[in-house]
Amino acid sequence: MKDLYKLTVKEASEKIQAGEISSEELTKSCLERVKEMEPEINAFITVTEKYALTRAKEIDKKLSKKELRSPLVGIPYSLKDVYVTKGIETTAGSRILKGYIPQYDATVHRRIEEAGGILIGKTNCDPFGFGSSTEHSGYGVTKNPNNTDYVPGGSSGGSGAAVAYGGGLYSIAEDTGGSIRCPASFCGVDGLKVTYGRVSRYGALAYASSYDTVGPIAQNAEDIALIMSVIAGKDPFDATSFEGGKDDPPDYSRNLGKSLKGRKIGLPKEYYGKGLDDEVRNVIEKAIDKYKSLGCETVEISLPYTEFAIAAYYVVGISEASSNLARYDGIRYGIDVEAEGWKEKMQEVRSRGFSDEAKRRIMVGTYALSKGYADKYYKKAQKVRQLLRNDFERALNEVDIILTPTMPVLPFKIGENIDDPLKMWLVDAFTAAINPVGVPALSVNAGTSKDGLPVGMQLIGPHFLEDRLLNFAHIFEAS
Amino acid sequence: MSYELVLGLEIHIQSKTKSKMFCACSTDYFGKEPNTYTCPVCLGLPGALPVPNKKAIDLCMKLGLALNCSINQETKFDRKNYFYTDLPKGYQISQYDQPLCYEGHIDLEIDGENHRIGITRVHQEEDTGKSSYAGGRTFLDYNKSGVPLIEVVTEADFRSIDEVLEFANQLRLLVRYLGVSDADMEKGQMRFEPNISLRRKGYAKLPPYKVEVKNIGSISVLENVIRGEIERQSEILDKGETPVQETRGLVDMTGETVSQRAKETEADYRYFPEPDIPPIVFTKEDIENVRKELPKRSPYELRSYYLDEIGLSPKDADFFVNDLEVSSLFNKLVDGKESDKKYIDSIVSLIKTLHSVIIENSIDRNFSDLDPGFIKMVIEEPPPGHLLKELLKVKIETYWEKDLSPNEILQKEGLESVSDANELSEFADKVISANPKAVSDYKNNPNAIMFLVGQVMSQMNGKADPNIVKKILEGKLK
Amino acid sequence: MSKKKLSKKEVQKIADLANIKLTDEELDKYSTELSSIIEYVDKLSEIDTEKIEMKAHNVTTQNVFRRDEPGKSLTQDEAISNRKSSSEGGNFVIKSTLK
Repeated sequence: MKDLYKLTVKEASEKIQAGEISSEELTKSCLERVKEMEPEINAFITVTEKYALTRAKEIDKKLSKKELRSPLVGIPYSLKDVYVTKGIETTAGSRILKGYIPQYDATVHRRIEEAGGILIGKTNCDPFGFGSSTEHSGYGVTKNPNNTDYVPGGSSGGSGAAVAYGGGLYSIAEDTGGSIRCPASFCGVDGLKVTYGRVSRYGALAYASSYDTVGPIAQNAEDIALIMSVIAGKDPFDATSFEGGKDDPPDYSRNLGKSLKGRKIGLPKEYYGKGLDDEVRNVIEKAIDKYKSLGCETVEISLPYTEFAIAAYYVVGISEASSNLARYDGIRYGIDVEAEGWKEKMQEVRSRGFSDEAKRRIMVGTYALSKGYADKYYKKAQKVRQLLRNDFERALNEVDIILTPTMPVLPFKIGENIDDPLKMWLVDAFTAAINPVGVPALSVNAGTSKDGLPVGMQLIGPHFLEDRLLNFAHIFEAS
Repeated sequence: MSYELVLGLEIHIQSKTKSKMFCACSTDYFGKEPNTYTCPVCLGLPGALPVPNKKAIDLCMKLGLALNCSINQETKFDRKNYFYTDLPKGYQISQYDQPLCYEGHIDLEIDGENHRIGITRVHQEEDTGKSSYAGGRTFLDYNKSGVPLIEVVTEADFRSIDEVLEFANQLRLLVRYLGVSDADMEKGQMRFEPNISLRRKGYAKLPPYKVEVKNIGSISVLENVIRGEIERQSEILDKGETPVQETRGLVDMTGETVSQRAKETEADYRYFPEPDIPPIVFTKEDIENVRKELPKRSPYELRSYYLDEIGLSPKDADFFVNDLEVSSLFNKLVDGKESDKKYIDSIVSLIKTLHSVIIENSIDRNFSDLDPGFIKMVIEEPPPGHLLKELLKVKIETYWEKDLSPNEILQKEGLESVSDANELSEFADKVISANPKAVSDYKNNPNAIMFLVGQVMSQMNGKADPNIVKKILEGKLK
Repeated sequence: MSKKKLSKKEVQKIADLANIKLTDEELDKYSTELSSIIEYVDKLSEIDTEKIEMKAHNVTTQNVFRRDEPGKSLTQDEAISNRKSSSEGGNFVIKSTLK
């Protein structure tokens, strides 16, 4: 069979379970695709070819004995390089971790491996998730497979690009302020930012501990549902992971296909005002029309604190980041340098190892927590965060889901925003507002611009109702 | 000029838990190979997350309540951010504005006078790694990193060295008695940090400076440090100057200190709530349940009860006061018979035997849960001496919850002794005729009889009381 | 040009706290960039938050604990595996931290 890498997770899974194709064939097809595309795209920091092929053969053996039944058995996937993988280099896209070989596995990786998944590589990203374009990576920029003059979005640009070109059937990425949704939108695939606590963060290199979420990027909502059923659920190693009792996690596929007749979609007026690109607006309006034709009702709603969301998001996020990144001091792992004394060594490692954007965020975060400023910045932002929570709670009581563009702009050209850090921050306006609140948000490919650049829409729902978002997306994609 | 001491203490105490504060690594690290008790969490590896140890929190609350503190029903952990080589995450997980326990006190009686020392707070945090030094290099071992640490902070209420020493001794006894910590100072399980200043006698205002001395691991060094500081600061004050506010470190065990850093450049710790650990909320009932576990008497009161009312030797009194479980069983057994000297002697002896059985066999049982009725039966009808330890061991290991008498247990385990005089006599005769050499040795050296006793015991598979066997043999060889 | 929100001296102080070494050139660059970021986030002070309670956690759960049961640790080899060349006898070794 040709071009197996183009299969969806669902299609591939059915063929594997039916014995029509082997995991090894599928894995080889993806690895060949990676070899073909990587020189141009650079979606991967590490390709684990040998590891993947060995595992695929093992899995094929187990499959023949019918020992494994998960829908992810034998399916090749990639991990954003912020998840630790025992024995496989993990860098977070940062030079500071060049050569770091972790001593343990992230829970999400372990769960997928136990389900029979095949890791084919670690994907490129902005260091520690700091960026919206993957241009800050210490391992070269990733290009958008739809048009290589453009960025793939970020920070999980490598994951978005890999799924878009068939370098693995799905990717596990990480979303702190849009890092899954932005590249999903820019690359023309789907990406789910889960409810905070829904998927274990153990082994995910922390950016902002109270925002970070672990979720999939895949070709469609049906695939995301299959992946979620494997990765979601309580983990004793993550105290903030959700304890849902014995019927948890749910089967995320169970509601797919339920009619949307009479369901209410909220359109926050703050997201459709000035600053929204006209082409993006056109694509989103067509998507809204499609939902109407499927029987949905739309209502205008208001999220009054939207204007302050980015400022609040950044202040709290980088305050936490400044502390989370303190462990990178060169003493126990990561790059090592010669210096006069221990203090100088730490400073040298951090100065050489962190990207400019990482230094900016660490320093502003340090400032926001420092004596005399914590009330004005950190605490203030936490309180504004509470106002954002109130906004969304109120709105989600009135409607079933909220629909917005994922990004206010089309994918931009490589280099276009790199010299204006603040402008780069502001493109996250629609995605970053969600993480401080904690609710789930799904970016769904909604169409393309005149020039063929992908446009994503963002579906936002109440805490832990990922399956509702997946159904809205699935119906949209299936009709 | 004469000055008055104004002193407050910070005390760090390693809690007595089996695993570390935020991970499952064992706390039994002392004297072990470096970096063999670490994991992603306590080594600060990328991606690792902390999960708090419930037992440690219970112990911290227990100590707080024993120090008459109020308990914050809503509490949380915070991050204290600073860079140091023994701090693998670049922050210490501690507690900032909502400590677990706050506003308590302890009353000290010195020369018949009461001195109340205010307790500002008692909170939970984690220990750092260990540094050692050789050849211009520092060696880092993170086995100690993440061990649960309780910090007790007092008000600046100490006015004399005697008060400080009395407090230090009482606190150490208290944590041991409550089972909060072994407080083994040699192992660094209890460390003191005094904040020392002086003011002119008769002045009520706090001095405009204070000198902090870090990490003192012994009460006698603490005493030396305070004496040294009083002398040093007096000299400066005598000249009409004010001592510099600073942190000083120990040079050696004599208590000599040297300036480490002036407090003006004090680190900015940038405390904020630890987002990785959900908040902790206690109901009033949770707190009362811990309070109920506290003993009625303080260890000091208990000690004087043992000495004055029961007449124990100081050594025995300390033995009991050092362990809440042991003293609790002892108190149950005393049961109003404080003046029955013979009875008291027998329970003291029995509890000591029980204690050594538990230690020798590394048995993990709560002493105080042992049925006192069983112990009383053992005292009333003691088994042969050589079977006592065995009896106690099988009682704890196999018959903990079974309601069997000592004799029933001995029978079930086949441990009963042969006391039939004829049978014993027969075995003695056999051994005497088979060992003429030993018999003749005995004529010159009475100690040689122990060889014959051993022979009889071995032929009877140990089912005899060696004291009786000895008597029978002596009778026959007269 | 209007006065920068953060002077070079202030940026130096922040960099010290963050344990990052900056050249004079970088100090200049970051004082401009950080200033514009701080000016932007200053918009938060427009909101009256006096009656709002701060909630720093993103979960509604409370009291998540571990039982006090010891488990497996890394081996010494694993612990120091990323510092093979600067370890000795199982210790991480650095230049002296004594004065």
